[in-house]
Amino acid sequence: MKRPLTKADVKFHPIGHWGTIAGQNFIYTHLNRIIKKYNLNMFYIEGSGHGGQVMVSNSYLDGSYTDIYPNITQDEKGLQRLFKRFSFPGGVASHADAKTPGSIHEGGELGYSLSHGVGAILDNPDVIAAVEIGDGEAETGPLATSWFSNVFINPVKDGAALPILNLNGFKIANPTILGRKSDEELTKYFEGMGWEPIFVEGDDADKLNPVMAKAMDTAIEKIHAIQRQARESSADDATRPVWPMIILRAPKGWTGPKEWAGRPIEGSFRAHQIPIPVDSQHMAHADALVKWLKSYKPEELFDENGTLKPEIRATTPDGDARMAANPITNGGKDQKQLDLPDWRNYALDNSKRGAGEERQDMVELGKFFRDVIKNNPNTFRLFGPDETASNQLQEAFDVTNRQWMEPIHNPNDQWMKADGRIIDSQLSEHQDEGWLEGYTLTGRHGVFTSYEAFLRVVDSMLTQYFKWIREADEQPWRHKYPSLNLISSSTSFQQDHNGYSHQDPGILTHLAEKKPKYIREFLPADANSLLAVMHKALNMKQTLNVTIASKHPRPQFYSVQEAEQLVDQGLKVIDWASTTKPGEEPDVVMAAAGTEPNLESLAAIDILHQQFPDLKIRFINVVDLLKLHSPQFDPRGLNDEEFDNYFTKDKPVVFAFHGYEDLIESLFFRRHNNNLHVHGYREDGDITTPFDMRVLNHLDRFHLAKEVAEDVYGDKASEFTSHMDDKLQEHHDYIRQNGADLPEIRNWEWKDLK
Amino acid sequence: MANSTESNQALKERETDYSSKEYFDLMTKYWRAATTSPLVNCISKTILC
Repeated sequence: MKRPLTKADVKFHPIGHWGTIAGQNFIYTHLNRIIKKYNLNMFYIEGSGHGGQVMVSNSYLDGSYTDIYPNITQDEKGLQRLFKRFSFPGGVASHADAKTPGSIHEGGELGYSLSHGVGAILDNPDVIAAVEIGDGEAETGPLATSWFSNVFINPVKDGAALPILNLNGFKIANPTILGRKSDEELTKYFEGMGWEPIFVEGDDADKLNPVMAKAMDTAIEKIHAIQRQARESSADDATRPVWPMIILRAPKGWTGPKEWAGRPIEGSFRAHQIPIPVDSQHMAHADALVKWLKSYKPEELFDENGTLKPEIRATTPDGDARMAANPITNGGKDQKQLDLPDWRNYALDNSKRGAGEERQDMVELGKFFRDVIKNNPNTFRLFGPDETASNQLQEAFDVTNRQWMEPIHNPNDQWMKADGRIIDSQLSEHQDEGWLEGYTLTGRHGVFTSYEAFLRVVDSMLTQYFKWIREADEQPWRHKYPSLNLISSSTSFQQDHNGYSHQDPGILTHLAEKKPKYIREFLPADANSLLAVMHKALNMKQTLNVTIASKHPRPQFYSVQEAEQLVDQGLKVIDWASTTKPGEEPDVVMAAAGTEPNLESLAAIDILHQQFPDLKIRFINVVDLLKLHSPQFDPRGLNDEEFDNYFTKDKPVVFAFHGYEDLIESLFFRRHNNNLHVHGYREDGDITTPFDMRVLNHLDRFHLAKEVAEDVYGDKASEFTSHMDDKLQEHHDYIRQNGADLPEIRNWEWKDLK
Repeated sequence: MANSTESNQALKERETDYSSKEYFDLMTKYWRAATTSPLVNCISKTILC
């Protein structure tokens, strides 16, 4: 301290979290040591919440922060700027956000540190992820399930994750559960989960240094021994090793004030945030704060210019060996574009559109993925919660297997090997999303396929990922990430035996609320459209793409050329399903987004055209849903003139939609035409037939035809609408008698319009 | 010349005793520096040390 503290030195509203800091810095200090000692390729993940200071401070001290932010110099002025910007308006967050060098994991929402670390080391055999896990975080469901990650790490082809459980014993206002467990209980727990815990406990750094150093040496030498031994054989022959982990028991708020106002601070939950109540408006306890700060003896650490003394700086690694400068934390080292086969080679001949053999969109996509895997043996993976086969991607198993390090019992098991490109053998959406995020943020490519309703399990993870890529995109020094791709299959409109619990298309509404620059929602209506979508989606960067895909046999409609146009433009007037002449104003616009909406709209057009041959219908298929945004909200969106050219300014629009209706209503809100009638998912479901699911939600051909007739002809259509009601009753009675849809529904085929 | 410098550096690294008391003392100082910085980060808008 060069002069007395004044209120001008102190923030108006100091914000930060002290409790986790000293323990994490102790870990970071020792990781620096083993990086230098063993010449490691290591990076750091900070799992504890609000520990942003750790990665900021350490990257500043090793110089990597200054490399990226040159105005944060290694002197007094730089320190001053650094201190002021921390958790300050216009500055940096109190988490390890995207502005933080070396971070791929913000740690705002807790639970994903180990999943991210493991995703990052897949196919990175030389990399070790040092994953600090807070004992609060360790209580979350996602973190608790992520200990199973060791079942999927191949010691030959993948790197290693070194979990370091930072057991400081407290959360915000409570003790932690693991903190109250004995070493014996923890040993049983972690050994049962396949890890070998190494305990380090104490509060005297001088005594703890050799203990921690020995623990770190032991862990690294075990990792190296495991890898060395495994790598004498092939990846196929590998078995699950028992990886080491470290458990550090050190006080929360370590080196902080022992007590305040007669209550303990160090070693208590009270160390969580600011331990001494001082701010620029309340300086009464400034002396206590100064005494605490002086206890670190900064004059021994920094020279007169405010620069860390060189002999201390020498304990940190140099160049890319610094954890904050490791290239894999910035979009990966030598990021490669995928070698994608031409999707048109997998396209179906749909010249008999809507007629002939039904095909499964996801089966056709599986053939494409099979060859993506073949062409990209180290940079593309499929993830899923035990659903790759159920979601009909089984063609991919022609060239690969499920990666699985536990014993394999053939013939009871199928498609399992130690080395595989598909990881779907843990039933955890959290793990799939976490691994894929770690894989993508380190520059590789992948797809997470899930049942539609249960993508909602990771709603908040997707929100956090979106926030990350948005903020990273704003950092000029951050490299661009490959797109993160989700496929939502096993959708709401056919659940057969699964019923209501498996019906929720709300992922579309959830993601549409985010900044549209980073979100794409694709609703391909058939296999060709799906193939064209995935080819585009896998080539994208800086986006979170969700594709809704049918897995059941369905009629196929669109040619290669149409599919290309649908994906390039986002939507298209389908001339062969419209009864208007080119340039002619329609009586009604029918639009569809999704497989069943497209099918039912076409079937409704078939009915309407037979009943009302003079009715002028324009049919539009929408694939890239968010193209309907107003450019006021999304520069990609159709301008008003373009929008009106598709949907007119005032004619009825009957929009059949896969998701919840209010999403379409919001997309039309700023447009001229509000004569909108959306038929989407109305939260009505059951164990019932595929067609009945559409009927329950008024998305079927009869309800759609009825809607059009009422909108165009009003009361004059009463005879027709009554006929539609009769058809619905006939359907109702038939399925309850026969357990299957009417033959006229099951055998319906598109017929060219007269 | 460059090779000679690299060799010297490599030799120096090899000779470093990463488990010596002297090394641990330096690590403790580094730890204190890292731990002081966030403290100040939280609280200060000017220079304190």
